[in-house]
Amino acid sequence: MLAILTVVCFLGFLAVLTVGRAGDAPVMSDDAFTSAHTTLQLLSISAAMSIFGIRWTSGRLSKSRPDLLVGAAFLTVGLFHLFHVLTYPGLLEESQYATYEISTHFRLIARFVLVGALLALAFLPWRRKAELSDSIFIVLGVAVFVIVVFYVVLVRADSLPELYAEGGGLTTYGLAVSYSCVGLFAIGALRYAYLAGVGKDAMHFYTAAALMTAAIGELSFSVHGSTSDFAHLMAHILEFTSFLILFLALLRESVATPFKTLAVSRSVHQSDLVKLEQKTAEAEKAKLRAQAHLDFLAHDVSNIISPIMSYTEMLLAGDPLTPQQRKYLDIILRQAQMGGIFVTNLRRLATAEAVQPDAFVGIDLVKALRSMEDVLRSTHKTKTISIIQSFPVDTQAVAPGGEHIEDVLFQIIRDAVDEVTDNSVRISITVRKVRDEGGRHMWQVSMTLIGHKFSPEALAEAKIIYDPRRRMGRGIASSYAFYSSIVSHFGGRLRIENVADGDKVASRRVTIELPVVETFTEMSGGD
Amino acid sequence: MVTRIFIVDDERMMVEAFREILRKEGIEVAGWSYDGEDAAHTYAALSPRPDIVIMDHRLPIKNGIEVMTEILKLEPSTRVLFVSADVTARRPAISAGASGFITKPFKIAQLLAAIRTMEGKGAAGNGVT
Repeated sequence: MLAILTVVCFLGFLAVLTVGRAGDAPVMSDDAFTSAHTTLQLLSISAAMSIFGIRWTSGRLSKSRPDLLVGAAFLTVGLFHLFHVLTYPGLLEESQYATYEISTHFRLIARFVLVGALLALAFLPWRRKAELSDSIFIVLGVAVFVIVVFYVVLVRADSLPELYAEGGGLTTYGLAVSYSCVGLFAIGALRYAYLAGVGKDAMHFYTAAALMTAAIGELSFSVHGSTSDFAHLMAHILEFTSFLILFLALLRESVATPFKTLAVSRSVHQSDLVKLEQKTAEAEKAKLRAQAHLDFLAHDVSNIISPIMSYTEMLLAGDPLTPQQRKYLDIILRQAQMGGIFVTNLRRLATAEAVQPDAFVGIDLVKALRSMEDVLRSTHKTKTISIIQSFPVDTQAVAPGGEHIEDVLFQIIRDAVDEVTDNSVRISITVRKVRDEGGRHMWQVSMTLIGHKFSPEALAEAKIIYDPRRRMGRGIASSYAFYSSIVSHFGGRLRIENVADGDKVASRRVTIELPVVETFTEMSGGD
Repeated sequence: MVTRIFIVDDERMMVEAFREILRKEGIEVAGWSYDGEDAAHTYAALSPRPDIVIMDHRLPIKNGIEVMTEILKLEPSTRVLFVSADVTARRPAISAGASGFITKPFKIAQLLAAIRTMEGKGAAGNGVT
């Protein structure tokens, strides 16, 4: 639209050259021209002041020195155009300052201020951010400049060269000033056209169009013969048009820019989101691959270790061995067993950690613990197993973790039964609801092997927490390191201690606390 | 009556170890197989049928639970003892009818205790060692 407007203005100039200049004939009466001139000037002043308002505000908000400078320039331009209107002959008849000479001085100074500011904007680097002091200095600068010009043009007018020749249009000096102005507008237009081509910036293109329009308008001004001829009228129309182009461009930019920024931001955000999703999917695949590798590794290592253990055991049970042979075989058996336990536990942890802690997979602790009693009795027939249970009545004790927590509970109890060499095994299992330090409801499962305590070494080893970032050393044989990690994965904690019961019998206790789950779906068996 | 056992494991070294352990204990090994499909066929061809099957889980072609299901269809009184490194197979194996589950690596005493427990049972029952 603005480009079309520029073309129209150019055609208007051609009309000036071909028609207006032909006879310098007035196109309207002086009174009518004064009215038209005042209207056009007031519109130009409105546009200039609006540009000042927008640029100054955005300059303050974005700390942009170019915006502050341009804003201040348009304020100055608006003020000088106001002085131009007020001193234009025919508006204030009684004023001694209402002369074409004074009025045109204000107008030309306004033109130079405008083109000077736009050229400075186009050619200077403007790297530094604006400070508060910049705004103050600029406002003070504008005030001083306006007052000085006002004083010189009104009070010291006699010291200025004459712009008008009586009845013959502009003097040579006037023409020189006007052509200088045209030249500067043209340079500005070319510079902004270049910037528009390089940066594909619409605002630069519109500024180039406005400056070109202003240059044409000034050319029209330079050829006018009388104040009411067509060239003079076109000069003011084109002058207003250039302000209008700048104002519309600025308005468009100030409305469009936030939406553009938002669109770019949204596009970047969506692009980042897509990248993030891709990375997440890749990480998930890598995790699954790592788990599959670990699974196969653990499985195969177990299969390799099993025959070693079996043959070593058979050797130990075979023909009489020398003490040294027995010692070595014992070491082989123990180390193989430790390796087997470690690999099994590592796999157990990896499988558990593959389940999201917040996955809706729970375990009824009471039901699981009750079912273990029968299994233990059937698998340890040579032992008399006595399990003292204290479970909540008429309620399910549901916790997260499903079969992984069930496996941990079973292994802890089975390990305890296996380690007791006596025929009689007494275990106390308590399940109750407690609150942790954070006020969360937790199911607390205490499993006490009565009459048997951890040795200091076993207790210290059992308290080692599995950490893949460091070597486990002696702790690798401790299943509790892994049990603790599995329980922790599901939001709980595991505690190991030696305790003295009421009858002062030393016992070992493993306590597991898990978050209370109100409802649950029991994990289905998988292959 | 002498207990007859059928061994299914894809690790030849492991099968050899089982046979040696059982031989020393005077337990008859009725046969063995190294993959899931062959195991079902071999078992079906045995007469009389074995009392206990020592079953690995991860096998070529068919897994241990699939083979066990076929065997139990053929002979419901057979007790199947899973001996596997795959701890995650414990629950589905027991649910599908396994009489016991031992995790590899194991102690010979564990294996024998499980077999003795099964010998005492007339029908399949759940047990985990």
